[in-house]
Amino acid sequence: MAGTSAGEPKSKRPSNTAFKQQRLRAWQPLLTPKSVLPTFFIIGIIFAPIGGWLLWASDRVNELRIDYTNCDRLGTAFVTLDSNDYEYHLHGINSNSITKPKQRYDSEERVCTISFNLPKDLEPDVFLYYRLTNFYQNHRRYTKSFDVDQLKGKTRSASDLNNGDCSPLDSHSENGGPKKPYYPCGLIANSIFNDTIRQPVLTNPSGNQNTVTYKMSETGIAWTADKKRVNPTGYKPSDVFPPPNWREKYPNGYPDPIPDLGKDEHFLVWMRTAGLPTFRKLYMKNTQDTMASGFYQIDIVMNYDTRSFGGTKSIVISTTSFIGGRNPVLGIAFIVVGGLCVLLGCIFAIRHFYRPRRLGDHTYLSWNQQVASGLADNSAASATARNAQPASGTQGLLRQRP
Amino acid sequence: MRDISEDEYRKWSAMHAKASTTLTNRQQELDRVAELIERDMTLLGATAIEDKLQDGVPQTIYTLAQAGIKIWVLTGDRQETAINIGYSCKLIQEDFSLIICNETTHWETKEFLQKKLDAIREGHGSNIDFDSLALIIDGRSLDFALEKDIEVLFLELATLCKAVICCRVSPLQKALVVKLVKRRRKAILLAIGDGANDVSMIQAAHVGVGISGQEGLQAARSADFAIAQFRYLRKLLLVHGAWSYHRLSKMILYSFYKNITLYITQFWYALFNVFSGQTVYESWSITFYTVFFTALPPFAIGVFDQFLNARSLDRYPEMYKMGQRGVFFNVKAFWGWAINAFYHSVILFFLGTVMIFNDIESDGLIGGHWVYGVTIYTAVLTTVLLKAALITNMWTKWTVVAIPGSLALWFIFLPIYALIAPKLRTSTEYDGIVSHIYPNVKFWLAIIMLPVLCMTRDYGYKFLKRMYFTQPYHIVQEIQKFNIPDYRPRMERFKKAVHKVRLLQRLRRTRGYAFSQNEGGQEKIIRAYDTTVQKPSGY
Repeated sequence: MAGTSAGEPKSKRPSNTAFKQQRLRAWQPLLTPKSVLPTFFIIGIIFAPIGGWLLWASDRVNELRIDYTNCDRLGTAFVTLDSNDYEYHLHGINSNSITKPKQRYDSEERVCTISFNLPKDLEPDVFLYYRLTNFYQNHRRYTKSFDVDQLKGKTRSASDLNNGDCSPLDSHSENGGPKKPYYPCGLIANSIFNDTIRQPVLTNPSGNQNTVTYKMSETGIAWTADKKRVNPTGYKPSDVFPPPNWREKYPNGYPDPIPDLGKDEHFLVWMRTAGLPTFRKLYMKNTQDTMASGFYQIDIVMNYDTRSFGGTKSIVISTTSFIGGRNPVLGIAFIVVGGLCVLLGCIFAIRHFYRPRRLGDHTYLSWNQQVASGLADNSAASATARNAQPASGTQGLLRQRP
Repeated sequence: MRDISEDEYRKWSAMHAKASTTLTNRQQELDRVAELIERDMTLLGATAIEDKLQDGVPQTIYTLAQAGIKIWVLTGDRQETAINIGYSCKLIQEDFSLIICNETTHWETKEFLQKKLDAIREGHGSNIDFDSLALIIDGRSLDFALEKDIEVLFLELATLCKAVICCRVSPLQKALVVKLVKRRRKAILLAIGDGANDVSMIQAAHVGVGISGQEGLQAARSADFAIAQFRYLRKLLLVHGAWSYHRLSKMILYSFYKNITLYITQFWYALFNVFSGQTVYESWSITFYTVFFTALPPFAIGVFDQFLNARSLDRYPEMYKMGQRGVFFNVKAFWGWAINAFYHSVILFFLGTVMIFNDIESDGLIGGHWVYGVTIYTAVLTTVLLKAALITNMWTKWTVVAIPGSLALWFIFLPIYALIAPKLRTSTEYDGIVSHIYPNVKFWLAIIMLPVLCMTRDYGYKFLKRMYFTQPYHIVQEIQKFNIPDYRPRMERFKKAVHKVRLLQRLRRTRGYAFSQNEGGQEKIIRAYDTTVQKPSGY
């Protein structure tokens, strides 16, 4: 075409770069026996021992759990628990040989006493958890039921909190008086676990003392980040109500000044909601002293009612390993994956050595076979295609598709 | 030429005037008078018009036929020309039986088509080779054949034949033929043409291709695809068509898979939170799953993936048939991927949950809901990206950015988001989570183990399919990768030899008023002069 007055017209030819012409340098992996079989075996050989190691580590974790939901139905005499209500996983100890734990209840003090046998020493760190079942901290309305600003220390008024995340426990008016906000508002704070678990007491120590208390601390049990989320509040005690379930603890409202909830690590631990309806939360820990073997007693003040929602509560005493608490599933899963891979590798290897398929073999291309047979009919052919019989293993599956 | 004297002309002119005004047999009288003057002439020379076939047309048509594409020619040329062009471009071979329909009335056309159809059907048992039937029909008969009561008949006969040539076809008839096939058959139609008379046909078909060039840009402007030469159709269909089909199938199936995997884990979680609707993952993470973290792999697959490279697709036109049969994208494939996604979600969620279960970390502290959520989320993301890696045939550097890059993006995003989001009050869930995720051994163990477990089945099954339930494209992929030489050249040479023998046999038959291009033969004579160049002045 003739040029325009502007000179040479721009060529419309697309640029000949590798990107635009789809010629990029690339790696084209193919799953051939040479790469797949070693992969399976290597994965098997790596995963199975890891699984074994994890299983061993989990096995070394010592854990015991004692359910005390129905302790307040007992009398002042010790009653042996039946086997549903406790669980022992102590490394190297046969669970059947351990003395069964006992419970009794003092209805005046509302204290449940659990007496249990610890057959072996527990090395630090030793942790004591409370475990609840059938408690849905992961319910959608529950999970969002708190106010970030209020916990940070801001004085939010009742109208601020109105129809916010905290409802229905956002504010309250008593006897027709003014509406005052709950502090802390929301369902999570209200439902806090309020049993008091006292320190374990060794009732048969060696040496000359009658009892030895295994001191466990109730600090350092919450996330560092959680401690920063809750600051002392700016409210005056007369500005707020404690949540309904806290009335028993604060029957005349809050003392002056209102306690700093950021220092109450039980509160922080509770606010970090669990993901499943059966969960544990850390209550206290000891990172220095060994928990000596012997018979222990733990007193628990029973404030928390789990029977009303069909749940249970237990205490769990546990040590940890580098993977956390006792969980054999991790190790077993690795072993299963390793075993599965080795099994698949073996099956494929046997098949491959017994009846291999040649890679890239033209005779498998069905149209080649058709042409070959067609030419043979014409009887004018020289045998250019290879033998039209496919090598064993493909059994005419290719030939059916032209 | 002949010089005529004034005298002779006057005499003849009188006869001519009388003949042109006669009332009976005027045409014959005129002819007779013309005969009187047209004699004793001197031959001055001969002119010839060549309508050259474009380069590569025969090879292209032959290749497309190999690829399982049926080719019909609709041309405005006359019958002999069209038939010769058919031979030239290897549309019909010398040994084809031609069914030539030149009927002039409605009923004759119907009878003819019916008779031929019955003959073929009866002869079906005995050696009628459907691979060598061709139907030639001219414009007049086509008019009748397109009428309501004959069109089914015509179409049945036409689809039985290997090739159909319609000659003397008007632009309207071209479009009508296309619409007829579209309406009554489930096939996909492609119409290709280069002139303004092809525009209606191009627009009537499913895919219209216009050739831009000699006859102007009309066809190219009205087409879905415009190419410069007919032979580029080969690359357009065999290479780009196959790539497009494969890429789209994979991309769509993968997109469904990745979303099903994530969201069904949410559903399993609902079994544990009394169906209250609480998500196990933090809400913005879920949003960014589709937007950032799994957006690039389908993109990379859809743009860059090549299941066979251009050279292999070109060499093995039969690969095109996979697209025709819907091998990569069909109902079975879709449900296979959906069930695979379910299976993965079950493993990821349930095994993941049991692995995290008692929530205790190595320092005795409790992980909580969001550590659990992030662990499962990362495991899902890793699995889904591993699946993308498994289905990718071709790893370019962009694919590396897309697939491992997406996972790296998540690991970088998480601490930044956990730092910023609580400050901005968009979501407080990730507050403080980083120090409980990255140093957490259980987290890393979970995201190594869960994807490997999920992928074991996928990997093993893919290997099994390739080795022991082999499809032709697997073989071609191996040929391509290992550069295995093709033994077929000997086949090609043999076929060429056969073709030449048959050519010689054919030359003995009468051809009609047109030459057709052959390999070798008359080409040298025809091309002795370059007619595109101005003749030099003088002699």
